[in-house]
Amino acid sequence: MIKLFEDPNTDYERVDRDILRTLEPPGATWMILFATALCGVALLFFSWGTQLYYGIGMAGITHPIMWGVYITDFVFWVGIAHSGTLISAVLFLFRAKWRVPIYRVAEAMTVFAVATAGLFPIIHLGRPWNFYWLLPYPNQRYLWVNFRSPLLWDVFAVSTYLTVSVLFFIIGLIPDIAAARDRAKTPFRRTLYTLASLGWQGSDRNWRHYMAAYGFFAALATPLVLSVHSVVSWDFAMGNVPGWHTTIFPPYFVAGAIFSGLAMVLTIIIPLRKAFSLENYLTEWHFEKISQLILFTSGILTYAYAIEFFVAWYSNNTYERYQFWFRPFGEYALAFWLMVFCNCVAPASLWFKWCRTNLVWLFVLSIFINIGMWFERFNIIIQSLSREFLPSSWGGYNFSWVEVGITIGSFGWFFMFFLAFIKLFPSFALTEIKETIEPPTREGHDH
Amino acid sequence: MSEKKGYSRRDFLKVVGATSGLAASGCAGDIPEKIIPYVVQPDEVVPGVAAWYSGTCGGCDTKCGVLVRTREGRAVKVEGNPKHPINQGKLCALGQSTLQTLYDPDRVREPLVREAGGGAFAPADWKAGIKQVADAIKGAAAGKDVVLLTGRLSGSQASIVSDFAAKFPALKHIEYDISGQDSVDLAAEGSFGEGSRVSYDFTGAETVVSVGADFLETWLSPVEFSRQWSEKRSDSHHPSKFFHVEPRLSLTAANADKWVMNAPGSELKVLVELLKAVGKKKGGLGNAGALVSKVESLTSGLESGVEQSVIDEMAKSLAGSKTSIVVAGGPAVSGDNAVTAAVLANAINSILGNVGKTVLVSKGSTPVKSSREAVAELIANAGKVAALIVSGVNPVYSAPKSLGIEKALGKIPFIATLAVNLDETAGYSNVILPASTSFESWSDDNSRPGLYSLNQPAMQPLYETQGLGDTLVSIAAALDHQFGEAESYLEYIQAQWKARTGEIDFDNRWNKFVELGGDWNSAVEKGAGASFSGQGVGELKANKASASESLMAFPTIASIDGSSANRPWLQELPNPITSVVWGSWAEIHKDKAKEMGVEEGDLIQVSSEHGAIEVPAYPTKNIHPSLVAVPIGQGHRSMGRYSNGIGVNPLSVLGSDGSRVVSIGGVRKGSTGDAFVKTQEFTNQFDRGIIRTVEAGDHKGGHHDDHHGDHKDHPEGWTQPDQHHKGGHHDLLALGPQDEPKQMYHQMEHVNYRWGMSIDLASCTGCSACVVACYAENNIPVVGKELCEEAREMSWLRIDRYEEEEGDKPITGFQPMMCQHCGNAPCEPVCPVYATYHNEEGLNAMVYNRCVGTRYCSNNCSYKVRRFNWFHYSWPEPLDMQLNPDVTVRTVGVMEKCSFCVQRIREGTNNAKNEGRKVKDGEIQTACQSTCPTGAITFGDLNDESSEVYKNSKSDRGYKVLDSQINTQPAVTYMAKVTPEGMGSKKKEHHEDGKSGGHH
Repeated sequence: MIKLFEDPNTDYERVDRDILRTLEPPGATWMILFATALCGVALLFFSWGTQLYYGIGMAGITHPIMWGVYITDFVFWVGIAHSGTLISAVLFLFRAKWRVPIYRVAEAMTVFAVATAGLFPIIHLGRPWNFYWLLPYPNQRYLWVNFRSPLLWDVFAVSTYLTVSVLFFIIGLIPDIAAARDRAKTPFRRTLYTLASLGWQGSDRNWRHYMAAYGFFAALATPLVLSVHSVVSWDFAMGNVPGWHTTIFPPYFVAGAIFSGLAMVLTIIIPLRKAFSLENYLTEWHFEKISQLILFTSGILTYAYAIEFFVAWYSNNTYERYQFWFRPFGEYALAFWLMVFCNCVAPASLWFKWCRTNLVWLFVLSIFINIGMWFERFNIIIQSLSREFLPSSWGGYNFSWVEVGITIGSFGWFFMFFLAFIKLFPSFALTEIKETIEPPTREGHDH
Repeated sequence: MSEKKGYSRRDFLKVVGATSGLAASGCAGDIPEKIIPYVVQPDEVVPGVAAWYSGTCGGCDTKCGVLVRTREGRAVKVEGNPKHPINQGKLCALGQSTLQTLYDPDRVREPLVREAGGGAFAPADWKAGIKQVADAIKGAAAGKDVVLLTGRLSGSQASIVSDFAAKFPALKHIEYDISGQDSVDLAAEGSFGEGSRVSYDFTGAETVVSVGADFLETWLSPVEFSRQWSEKRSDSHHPSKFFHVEPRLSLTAANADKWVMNAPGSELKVLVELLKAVGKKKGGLGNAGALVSKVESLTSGLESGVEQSVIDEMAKSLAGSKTSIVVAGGPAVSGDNAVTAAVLANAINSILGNVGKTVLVSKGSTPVKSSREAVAELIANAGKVAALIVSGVNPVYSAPKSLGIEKALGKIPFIATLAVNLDETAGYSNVILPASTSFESWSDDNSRPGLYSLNQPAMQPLYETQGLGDTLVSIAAALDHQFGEAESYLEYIQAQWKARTGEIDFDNRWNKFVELGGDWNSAVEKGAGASFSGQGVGELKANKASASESLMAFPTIASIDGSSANRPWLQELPNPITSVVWGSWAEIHKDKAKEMGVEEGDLIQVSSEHGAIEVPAYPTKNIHPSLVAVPIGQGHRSMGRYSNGIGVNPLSVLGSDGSRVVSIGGVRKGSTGDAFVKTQEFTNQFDRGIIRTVEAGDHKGGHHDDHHGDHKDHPEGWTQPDQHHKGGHHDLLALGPQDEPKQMYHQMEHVNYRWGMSIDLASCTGCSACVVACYAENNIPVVGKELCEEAREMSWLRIDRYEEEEGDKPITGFQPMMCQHCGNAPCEPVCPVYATYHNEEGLNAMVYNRCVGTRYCSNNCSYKVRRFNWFHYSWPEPLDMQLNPDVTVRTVGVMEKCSFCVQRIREGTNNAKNEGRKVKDGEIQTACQSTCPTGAITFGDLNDESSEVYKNSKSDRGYKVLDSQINTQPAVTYMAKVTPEGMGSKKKEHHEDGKSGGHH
């Protein structure tokens, strides 16, 4: 049953009041969280600085595992980003109403997650100061980039994604910023909102252009949901490493990305709903919808995991077979079984309505899924690389404090942006929420 | 170094060398560079052009011939001298690494004199140092000796010492020899009469039986023996059969067709049984009859654990061969056993008619003395010694503590040491004189009858150093004596050579000798007429039988006596059997370890009555359960930064009987401590067909099997990947000599050259000389133990070892693995910046400057041969002077890998282009190829159908690793190991069973 609001009598006034309340000066909780995030950022740059100073060897990555936690983090954060675009663009085009109260948060999450993900390809370079060599810019040395390399596709995929999602995000914010501008009390906020609302008047002309632009961007962003993570998956699928070289990767990665992103949305909105008392706007119905999507993508993932094993067996390829024996029973079996539990077993609880509507369980589950999806990438990257073709070169991997620092720091980096965002901009879409309410005037006429 | 003001010629060359080293290393960021032009062009130095000097290797007592490559006045690479009869252009790992003794940052750089009252050493000048030595000789009271303790000396060194002793009768010369050559010489005299010498020639031997002799590693002349032995190993119809008897799997044992694990100390028993069995087959023992009863009485009560059927198999193979060879020696057969065993081997060879063919006997040498007895005498009479001069040996390290050498040294009032490093023995000295290396001084050798090698300095001495010859000349001068007309040791050598070869036209001939590196045209006696006389049988002795458990100290390819321990290349060279780097290990039977609850890397304590050592355990099935074996070479207290405090020295706990095996009172769990670091964890191939074997006569069309179609063309046997067997039809990607694989995509054309390599696994022994040569040629940094533990070692070329279980005994294969320069390289398309690409000559090129370090290429490399610069690595001065100016020194964050020595290819193609021709086959040699003792590596142009490498790539034995599965089209062809008929792996039969099962 569709239940947009707990309180059926919600009106525009109340929406304005409830949503813009999130912009009020922060309390102690926010301050502590923000300070923690800043510490994380400090840790990120300290760790990275150490690595820059002494060399990439400060990280635990080594032969034969040349990609480790950094690329795991990269794929993890890119994956997180995906559900934001799915919710804001794809579901917009499908007119799925349950996206309304969560899409802004999801979109902000997308932008910041891509911004976080974008750090990792640079962090992991041996010579990060030369990162711009991956860009095809004209130069006197006639040096060009290799368009056959999936890493170059990554450069384009991720930068396109970042650009489009930032623009889409800003466009969607304009009417809401204007609303905030009209109520802003401090000169700082007034100036900020005046600039950011780009002179929004709320006129018909404004609305017409806005709606057209929003629709176009939604259409533009939709294919990116599929393409970006497909390209990311090609980093692996185009390689010949046993465990990587498989055609199932693009759909498998896209499903995984949406799965992990939805979990991250839950991780974020459940505490936000509590903190800002938004129970009226985020109802059981919304969470059920998210849960159903999680259950669906978990099913795809479970199928993909199973198919990998089947194909390894059916191909009769020694190397693939060994790799898929190694994953559940080898050195990193714990990571594998953790992934299976978090991504296949635990989400199966969502077959039950009680689980779909119990926010405590959903929050716990979302954390499981975040962990599980991180380990999925860990399994793909580290397990495959540790058992390739020549047994003489098999090896293991212990990550160092630098990698741990950077990984933890990346969460600080993400939440620093996110926390700043929720205090600076309306993190729930005012206008779209209002659109779902029966206009008051018409109501008067009808009765 | 750049702060010096006044330049001598020597300093000048040093600075030039150092600055070009800096320029090459590209690390000039912090150090101001000074470019100093030549004012007067020195002779023979053309900037940018290498000058080569012939010489003699200073790595061990074998005295191989070398060519030293110098650039701008500094030695940068050592190659074997192709004209030298011993090594014929090849060198071992020890020889390749001698440069790191020359450039050892911990060398003694100036004379050091101990301050009065036994204080610290103070720098002095040569004059003062020599004066002290001369005074000590002069002041020696009547009845007291002055002892000169050296390693084995020959040629002019031996004569100048005896000339010196003739003039100053107080001087006694003692040779301290731990190579085991004196046992061979003693045995030769015991077998063939006084003054006899035996040398071995494995050429043509159809059956080789070695009892303990690690002739592919350290025994007598490993480079020469490896070459001779390998000649019949790749014969795919009639390969030689090789039996090796030793209680542990040494590198030599790993190369045997049959490794026989005997009980430690029972080698004489095995040999005497073999002698009897051979005698039976050959119709009598002849003069060796007395020997049998003598040795049987010596070995009564011993159990060898070797079945009679194995002895008979060896005897049958020996008796059935036209030419064969039996050798005995090595660490398992040392002390008194060494002489007896060698006599037994001589007797067997004599019965088999090998004398004059594989066992060469010469007469007329001076009777040999046992080095061990001489040293024991010195120690016993230390109170009578007024002064001791030590040169080139380090007995405090290498002699067992039970001999009491340290105590004896304490009794000697004056000790002078001529030393390269401030080693353990030098620490006892009153005066330390800095010794020159062979790169910096003149010397000659007469290491075997008729063979005179000459060594010229390839560069100016780095420091104020002198060789032994010049030091003796100086000491004599201080004592107002001159050796004839000779004012220097060079003149002395020249006088010697003049006396030997005649005066006519000497200067001209001398120049030719110097250029060639010696004189070896005298006829070499083969001694075909000599036969086993057995006159010395009565004096034969055996070591005291050991208790139920014993410890063996064994030499390795990286160390014979510990003197090479301060060479970082050797420290970082993985032991070919265990792959351990930078440390010691104790091989112990895995069942015993399990019983004790000891896991790999746990410290165990091994104690003999002479002391105890604690070593990390290496549990293996490849050792006799009653034996623990620890390698020689580590455990230095005082040597240098790369050796001090690393590992343990097993020599210290040996007995005084000269044996490398000592009884131990059991093995106990040790304290906790550092484990060793291995570079290869997995030695199982998991049926991936990486190393393949063929059984002789089996593979060439003679082996038909309807089940698997064309795959008879491929080497098989030991292992084949499953895919290859399954399915009787032609596999699209399978590479065979007749059918080139079908390719879906346009293939790169190689119009001019297509460089390729072949590696014959039948002759590769795993000796790792190629690995060290690669380090030396390509400026590969050494990263140290901690980084090796993190798998960050940089070697471009590694020796993979795989082991196949067959009962208790392994079948081991070694595989040099370097960049395969794939025609369809997985690394190339994934690099986003084109830092690695395929060039028009088939090389997988690497542009260091362009690399940003995504490391995707390494992930995608199926052979895992790409190494990454995780940190900025440096070469402490003066090790940087060795850097090859033709090769870029890589910086942090870039990938590197084997380039097929592209600098040598460029030099070769440029020379050819200048002369308007194509490169001739064999003209360009990679560093690994040129040093490979067995010639297993061949390099050349695959476009040239007459080239050796082309023929090898089309050989029946040829295969490319992984190519049939992933279509990488490597430019490197491996040639399958050949096992003699009936000696192949039993695994093959299982495999065929499994295969036919798999079909249905």
